[in-house]
Amino acid sequence: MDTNTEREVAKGLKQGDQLAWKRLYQAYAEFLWKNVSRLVGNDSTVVADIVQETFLVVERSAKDFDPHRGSLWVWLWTIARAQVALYYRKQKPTIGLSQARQWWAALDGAKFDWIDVKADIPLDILQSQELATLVRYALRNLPGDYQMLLLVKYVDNQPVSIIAEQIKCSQVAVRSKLARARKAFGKAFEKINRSPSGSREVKL
Amino acid sequence: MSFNDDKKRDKLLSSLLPVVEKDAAKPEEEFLDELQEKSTSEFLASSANDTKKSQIKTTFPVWRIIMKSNITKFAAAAVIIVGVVLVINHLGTQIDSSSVAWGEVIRKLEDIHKYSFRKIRLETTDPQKGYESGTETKVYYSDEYGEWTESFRNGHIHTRTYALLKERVFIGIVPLAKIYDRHSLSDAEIRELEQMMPSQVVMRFLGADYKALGSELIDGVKVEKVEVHDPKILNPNAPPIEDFVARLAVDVETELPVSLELEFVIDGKIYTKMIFDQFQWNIKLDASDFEPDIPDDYTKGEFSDG
Repeated sequence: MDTNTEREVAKGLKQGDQLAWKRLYQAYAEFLWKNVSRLVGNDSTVVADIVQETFLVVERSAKDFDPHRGSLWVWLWTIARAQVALYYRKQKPTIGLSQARQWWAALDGAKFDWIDVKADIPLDILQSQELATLVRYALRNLPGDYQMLLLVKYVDNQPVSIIAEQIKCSQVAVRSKLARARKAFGKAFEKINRSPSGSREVKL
Repeated sequence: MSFNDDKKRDKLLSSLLPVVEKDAAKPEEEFLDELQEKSTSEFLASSANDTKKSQIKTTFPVWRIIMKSNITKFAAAAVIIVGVVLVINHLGTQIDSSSVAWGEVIRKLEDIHKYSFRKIRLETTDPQKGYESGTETKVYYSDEYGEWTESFRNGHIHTRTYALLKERVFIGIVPLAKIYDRHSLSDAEIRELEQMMPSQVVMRFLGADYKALGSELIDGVKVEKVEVHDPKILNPNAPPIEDFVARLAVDVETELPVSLELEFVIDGKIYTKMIFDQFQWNIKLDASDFEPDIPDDYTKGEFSDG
């Protein structure tokens, strides 16, 4: 959504305009679904619940959306991220993460070469459910703006110029934020995969 | 952080992150269509009728789509029943206005030694016309290392600052002008930094004559809010300002701050709004986060973040 359209939508939302709501919904509902499912996985019931809860909150706070505080895109994702976090807070700890950590710990030393980008990650590892669990968990622990930047850059493969347009930032600012986001992801991934004491830690 | 490290991370993330797409659930058109219909009706209804909206805000929404799984279906149905009962029992009244133990908020904050948050500053000379775009700053704080900030204005990097406690030094960088400044941190500046720690601010909030505003939802999180009109809660040495109001919102579940909003007028004409939000508590920060990166072609100049 370009800046002018976004301003029009923000103005319409403040006035309770049906068209503004529809434009917001149509521009972002699928986007929300897609990104929520990237964080929670393949259970469409869970994804649908989170998307629904997000729009409930958006509906209630649409009048208060202030374009000066960031773009619609970022605002929506901030709300969705909070809903994802709420969902996980309500869940009992699952065995999935602990199994994934054990799986990672059991991998041989080649993983250090993957992390150091000295060797490519093998396809069977990239396709494993355990790796997806670990990456999702690391992503979930990042601030919303970092999550969104990383997903758009590395999963949607959007160029920095498009991302800058979406979040209303300069390309230099996006690059700077992306570097921070990469570092934060590295730390989050390192934290969940911390090896038992005495052995080498996984550092990104 | 070296450039090479970041290049490596970039390459690694290019192969690592797409794994989340592999088994992601595909969008369900039927569900999204139904949600559009229901949410549009609710949006229109709540926009048209403020009284109705206030009732909805204090109850559970009743339009949730019953989901497919048995568990969710049961939960959704239960929510609808609870919502109806709450509407009947609490029409026009406030629900559960004191579920935060404020002493616990301070205790929890005192146990947090690393955090980050966003700070937005907006100004206008004509509040009728609304606020103009302001400065957005991401702040990272560690008890051990100090504070570093990155500010953006109109989407461009404006300044970076480092207040380094071990070295007792302040470094300010203005990338656009390619200048930086460095000076020693005085005891007063270090004290000021400590005064602005969230636990200290909350303590001054609760020591002031505060008013409970009850609970509401912020970005889907249930919070309780308190309001104060005494500017000294911000900084005991703050310069004179008028029409000061500060609102603090605390997450009912985690008992940690979610946002702090300040409004005040400077010199009778500059209407200012400051928002502190997107708090991340107990984040991982290490020495490398507090290493200023001053490119070789930057020259020493006078730093100003104004």
